[in-house]
Amino acid sequence: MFSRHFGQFLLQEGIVTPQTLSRALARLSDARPLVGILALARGYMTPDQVREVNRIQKREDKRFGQISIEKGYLTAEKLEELLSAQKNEHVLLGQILVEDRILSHEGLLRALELYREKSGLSPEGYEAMTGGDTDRAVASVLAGQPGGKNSLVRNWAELFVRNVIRFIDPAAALDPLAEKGNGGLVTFLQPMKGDREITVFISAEEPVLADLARRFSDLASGAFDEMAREAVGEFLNVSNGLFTVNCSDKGIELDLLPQEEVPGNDPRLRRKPDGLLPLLLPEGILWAGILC
Amino acid sequence: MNEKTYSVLVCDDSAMIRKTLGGILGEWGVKNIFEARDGKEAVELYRKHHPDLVFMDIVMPEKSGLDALVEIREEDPSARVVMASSTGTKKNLMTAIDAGAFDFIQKPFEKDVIHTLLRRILKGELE
Repeated sequence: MFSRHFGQFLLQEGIVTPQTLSRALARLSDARPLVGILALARGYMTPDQVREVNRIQKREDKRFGQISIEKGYLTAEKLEELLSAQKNEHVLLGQILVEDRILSHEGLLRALELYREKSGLSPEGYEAMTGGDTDRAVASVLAGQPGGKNSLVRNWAELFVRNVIRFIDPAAALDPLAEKGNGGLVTFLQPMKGDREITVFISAEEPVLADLARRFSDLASGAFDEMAREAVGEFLNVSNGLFTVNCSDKGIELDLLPQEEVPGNDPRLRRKPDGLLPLLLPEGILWAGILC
Repeated sequence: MNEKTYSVLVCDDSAMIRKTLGGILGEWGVKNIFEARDGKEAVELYRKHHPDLVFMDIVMPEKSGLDALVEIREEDPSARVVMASSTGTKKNLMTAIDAGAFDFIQKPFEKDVIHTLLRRILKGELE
């Protein structure tokens, strides 16, 4: 997850060219398989078991490892071994760039230092971001936002990032350096009512949403047409549906209202969100926010 | 192949969901698929066609799926309605079951789950 974001940073800073980064990331995707693929490669799970866990993941807000342990396919020790093998992918990207002589070891260290400085992340946040610890990375991005300490906002944010990774792009990454410009963004929102009044929204430029739609539904063609709009709305609906289930398990009952595409100046979005996440997807930044 | 010609009503405000579900049903062999965009249309179409099965979303404009379920079951207590929603909270599950829903499935849909459901409900096969 961090690799694409770190790569984007290197690109923006002029440290690498698009071509060299693209080649390095392509090699990286070979170098960092998913937990399921790692489990397969090590003979811990069969292809059927991996497929079954993937299917369950589409219905339940659980991680691959957790489901695999519950099903008895992996032990906690084996999962830990697989997760260790996955970690520190940014080091792998760095290694590839060093191997390709795009960066020296010193240049890589300087680039990482520069990233840490510009991102404004705390040492813990930086560690979480680079180590692939999604929940801690989310907490770091939310720190200082109005709802940064609100457990409901935290739970929504952690789940939303997991949903993007699960349904849209396994390589999606939080991008604390992203800046929200004015205008040009298409926004979808969905209100929830019940024990609390909550509004969740997502905003992005059309190409980002068209690509999101294509990844979420086979019916979306990649153009930002009516079917893409349906798919984006449905992704928001599915994600919020899982959020309401999680809330219900904690004794907070929420009813979803229909999702809708709204203009950027919709009165419901005038207030500063309690939580706002910038997620780097292949076509650009997806903004996701919650007001409660 | 299924010998009987089954009819199914799909009710969802999303054309994408209706098309996705319609494709899964057609693949299984359902010949007559009716589409409704909200609970109001669903009640009207049920009244007209009396389909063998209904897939009903919950969150919809005009009339919610739960309200439509109640109306359909009042008119036809033997109606088989499966609630299909992204929000499978305990409250929604209990409300749907109390109102006579046959089953409840959570989005996003799995083709295998839908096909198993069709075998169980329409052909009476045990899992």
